[in-house]
Amino acid sequence: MMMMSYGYVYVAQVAMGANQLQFMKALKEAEAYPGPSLIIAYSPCINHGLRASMGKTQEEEKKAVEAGYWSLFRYNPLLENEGKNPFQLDSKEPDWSKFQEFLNGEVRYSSLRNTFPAVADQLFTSAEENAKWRHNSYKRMAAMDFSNASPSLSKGE
Amino acid sequence: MTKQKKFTTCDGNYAAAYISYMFSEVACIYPITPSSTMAEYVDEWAAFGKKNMFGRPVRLAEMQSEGGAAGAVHGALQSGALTSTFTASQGLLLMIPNMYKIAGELLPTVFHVSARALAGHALSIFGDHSDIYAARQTGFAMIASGSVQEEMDLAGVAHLATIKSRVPFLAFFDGFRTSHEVQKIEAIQMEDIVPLVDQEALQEFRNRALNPENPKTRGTAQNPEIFFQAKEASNRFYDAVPDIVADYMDQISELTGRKYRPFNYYGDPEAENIIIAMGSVTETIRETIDYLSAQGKKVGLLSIHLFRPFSAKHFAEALPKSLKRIAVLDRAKEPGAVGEPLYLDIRSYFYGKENAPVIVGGRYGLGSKDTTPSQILSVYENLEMNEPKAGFTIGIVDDVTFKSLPLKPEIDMTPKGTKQAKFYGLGSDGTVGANKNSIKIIGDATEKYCQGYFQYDSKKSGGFTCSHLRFGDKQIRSTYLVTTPDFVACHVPAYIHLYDVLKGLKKGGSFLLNSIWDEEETKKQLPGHMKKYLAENEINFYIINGTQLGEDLGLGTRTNTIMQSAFFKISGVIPYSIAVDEMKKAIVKTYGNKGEQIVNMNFAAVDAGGKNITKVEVPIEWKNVVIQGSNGEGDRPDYIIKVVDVINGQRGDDLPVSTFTGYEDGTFEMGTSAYEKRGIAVHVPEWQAENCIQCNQCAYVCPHAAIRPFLLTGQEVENAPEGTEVRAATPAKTFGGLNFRIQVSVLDCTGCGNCADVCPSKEKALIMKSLGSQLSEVERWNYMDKKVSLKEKVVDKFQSVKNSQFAQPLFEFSGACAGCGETPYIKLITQLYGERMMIANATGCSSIYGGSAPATPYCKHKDSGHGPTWANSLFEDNAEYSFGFAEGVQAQRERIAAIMEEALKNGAPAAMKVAFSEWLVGINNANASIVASEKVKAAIAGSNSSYAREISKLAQYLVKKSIWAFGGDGWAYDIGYGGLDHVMASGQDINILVMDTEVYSLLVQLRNLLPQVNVFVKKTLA
Repeated sequence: MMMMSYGYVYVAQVAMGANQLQFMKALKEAEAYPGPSLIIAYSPCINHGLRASMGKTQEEEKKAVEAGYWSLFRYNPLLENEGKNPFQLDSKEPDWSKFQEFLNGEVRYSSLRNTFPAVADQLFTSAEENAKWRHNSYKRMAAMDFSNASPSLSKGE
Repeated sequence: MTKQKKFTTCDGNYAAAYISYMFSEVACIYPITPSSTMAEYVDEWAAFGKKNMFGRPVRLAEMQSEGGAAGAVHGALQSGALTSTFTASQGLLLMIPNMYKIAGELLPTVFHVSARALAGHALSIFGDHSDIYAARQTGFAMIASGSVQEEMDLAGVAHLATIKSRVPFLAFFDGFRTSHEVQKIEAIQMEDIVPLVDQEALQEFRNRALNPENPKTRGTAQNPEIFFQAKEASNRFYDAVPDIVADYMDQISELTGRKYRPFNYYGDPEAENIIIAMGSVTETIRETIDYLSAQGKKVGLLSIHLFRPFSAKHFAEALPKSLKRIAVLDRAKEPGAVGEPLYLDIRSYFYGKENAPVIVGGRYGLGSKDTTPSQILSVYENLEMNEPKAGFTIGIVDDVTFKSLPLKPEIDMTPKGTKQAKFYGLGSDGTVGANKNSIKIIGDATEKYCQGYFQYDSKKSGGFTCSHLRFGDKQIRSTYLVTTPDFVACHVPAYIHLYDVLKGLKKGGSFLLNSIWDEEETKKQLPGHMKKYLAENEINFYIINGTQLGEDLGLGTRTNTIMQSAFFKISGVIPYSIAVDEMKKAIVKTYGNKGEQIVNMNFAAVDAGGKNITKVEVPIEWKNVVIQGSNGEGDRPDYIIKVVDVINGQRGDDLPVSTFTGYEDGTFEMGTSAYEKRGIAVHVPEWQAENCIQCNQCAYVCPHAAIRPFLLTGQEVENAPEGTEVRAATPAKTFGGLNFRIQVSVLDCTGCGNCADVCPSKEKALIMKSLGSQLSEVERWNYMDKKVSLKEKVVDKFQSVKNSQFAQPLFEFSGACAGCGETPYIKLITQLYGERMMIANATGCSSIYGGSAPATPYCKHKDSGHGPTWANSLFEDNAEYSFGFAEGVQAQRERIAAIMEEALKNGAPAAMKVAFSEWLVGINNANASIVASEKVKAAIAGSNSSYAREISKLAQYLVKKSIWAFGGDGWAYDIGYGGLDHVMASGQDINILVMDTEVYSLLVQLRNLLPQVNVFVKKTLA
């Protein structure tokens, strides 16, 4: 949100395990964009303590996106020049019923539940609420109409 | 000294955190190795409600950087709360601006620092005094500890003295050597130390706090008429510090029975030659002095505890009257200085004094280079020379500027009855954990003193580990690696071919090998040099098949408990029955909540370890074994053989300074990781040609570039090693009769299995099989890699995921964890843009697996010889670093443009005109610039015009560069955010890849919010 607010920064959020092609598209657009580009790539890590094991890191990325924990999108300022919305939400509507299941699949979260169960429940509920709130804001952005917008900023070219 | 002593087995970071917790109301931190666990202890204790001296848990705040942490400490102090922080190295550097402020405002605090090297020609996470020396001008008082026990004893002195004196303190000890060394020490109790607090001074501190009910203005700007005088006004506070510290040291000495002074003298009272030093080396020096005293030599050590303010009075009191010569040891290098800081201090103290001693300075132990007693011997021997060498180094061979003192053979100087043991293991096999447990068992269950130190390489997992343990009836002062063990255990069978595991093993000592072979086969497998050593030194040789036992018991690859039990059985450090009881108690404690089955499995492992040891008779004729030198592989470059292989064989300490002639600036050869062939996977994928749909997704996701598709011509198939299966590449229209094969480099694979997991074929085209069953793939990989030509131009690599994988990864076989989520992203970027890429890499995981000497995964393209050029500056400045790349390149390309424009104006030859015009039009378009650059090069070739000559000097800038900043969330969201934001806002054509593991940024939330939680939000950078 912060970088997109500049209006002339290419921004993409990706998770290759969830959508291999979306990462490649983002990469090509970012590299070709004649200005600053930012790719934020979801990266499962040994410190997450994946219950499914480190042999399933690509799968974990997929689960993160399906559950609404992580969203895929691209913000390409050049689209605005064509009268299009620069923001494209690339991930599908999450299955929110999988959100808590996703958290439980990682020891970094489940260990908190073991140590401080009450606190953990409260935290994880608010995490889900926050993820929904954020996803809704992405959806609102993706729905915006740019057909009549007159480009006022010089973008790249 | 009447109280019952309370012993605890812990490391230096624990000791510092333990004391600091008592005296802190607030801690503001930012994690940095090797200091991080201090903050983690405080965090954990606070979460569980442990109480400080005010009966409250410490409030811990994790900030976005060390700069932020220091700012928050400063603010908390001004608000009247006792506040501490923990840091090291670059982190301490980032705190320096605030340290001036805190000292200038006479605010009492203690910064606990596990002293660590600073990044210059290379990053080092290891210990030396470069960081604390860089803070010595801030106005902080500085207290040095040389051991875990001293850390426990002197951390309290720092906290007490800062309250009383108002001068802030930096309490330091050696990174890793002290911070991570496990020792059995006596713990100071809160009820004993809290009464020593000067309550009046504490109340005055509270009264001075900023508070609107008692408002103040503090921190004005001052002009020339008063700034100087106001600064000098603080002198009396500094003058008072040494006596306050000495007084508290006396009180702590009384409490503990251990004598502390600002300067402690150890050795012969009539010594003529002494060493002056501070930190963990002082323990080794004491050990050496004991050894020399026993031989009748009169030598001594002045060990510094209060480094700042430097008290001439206490210094003079501590010196022996007989003093003639001094060697000052500094654990840092100040290039270009007359000498290092401590040496200069001592010189200036003696300046103009009558009968001043001869003083020479030397450097030791940089970046945790081990400092052994034999090196200290050479320092004393140097002092005995007619003209002692000045500005010397120890522990290395300097064959370029000849500053090093001679290296001598290691002598065992540990007190009689001390047993020393070394354990070779594999990262994450549990060896280190088991050894920590053994120390605890021996420390807690017996009167014995014990020490453990754990050596790692920089592989994230699956790397080399060596545990160094000592046990004895006397306190252990050996602050160096075990060089003359009584016992050696090798937990990884393959190591017998890789490392000299028996090095230094004492005559009559014991060697335990985890062997996958029986007695006879083991004898066959042992290399000649080991046989000879075992026989000549009458070693008791034991084997146990821990690997098989582990599998049979359902423990998988975790052989640690079996090997631990075998160690207790063989070594007899404590009665075996006691060891068994204690091991089982520990198992219940660790696994109790995981169910009875797990507990029983581990109990069985303890029993198996004791029962299944075989003693191998060492044939006397092994003494006569002829040792064969290795032939080496023909195609290994010189640099690999002479440098990389040496370091990987754990013999890097033997490399002399001249090895780095030509590499002084930190450059390291690229692509060395391809020569490691670590073979650490248990299971590797086997390609099922008949099931494969040729989608290349396996290669796309592989974190180590160890599985790749190849396209082969008929001829290349014919020449391939026997049994090489291929399929016709599909669609045939695109690939025109080429053949397709997925090839695995089984020795580079880490066995994560993501490739098989993502394989979308109905019947999996990849099946994980044991590494042993796939070794015939090694030859095949070598053939594919070296003999089969690259065919990435057959298709457009930018068109699809599948096509991208025919391009050569220019990032391969990194030391990242098996299944790493970050590295597949990097790999694809190098496949698409590597030949014109510049990478600025923020410090962190990606800089460690991206370039940890001697393993460098970024490599050159086979055909063009071009490739990603990679560099790491710091953690916090990476976006700016990449911005600098872009600005610098742009300046050169603008010069080219200016030359061309002038050439066009002044009538350049036609060919040049066409090429220059085309280049200028496409200057910022990657593909256009690639095409035009070739034309420009052709046009200027052979021309003698000034334009042509100027442009040819700049030829490497013709192609548009792809400029990248790589880093993790800790960099992008936190410490480097300001720079990242500025660089993005600048509009410069830069690409930033944030590999978001959430490990830094999410921790912020959890730490901050426990135990009162109400929100759970992540920063939104996008």
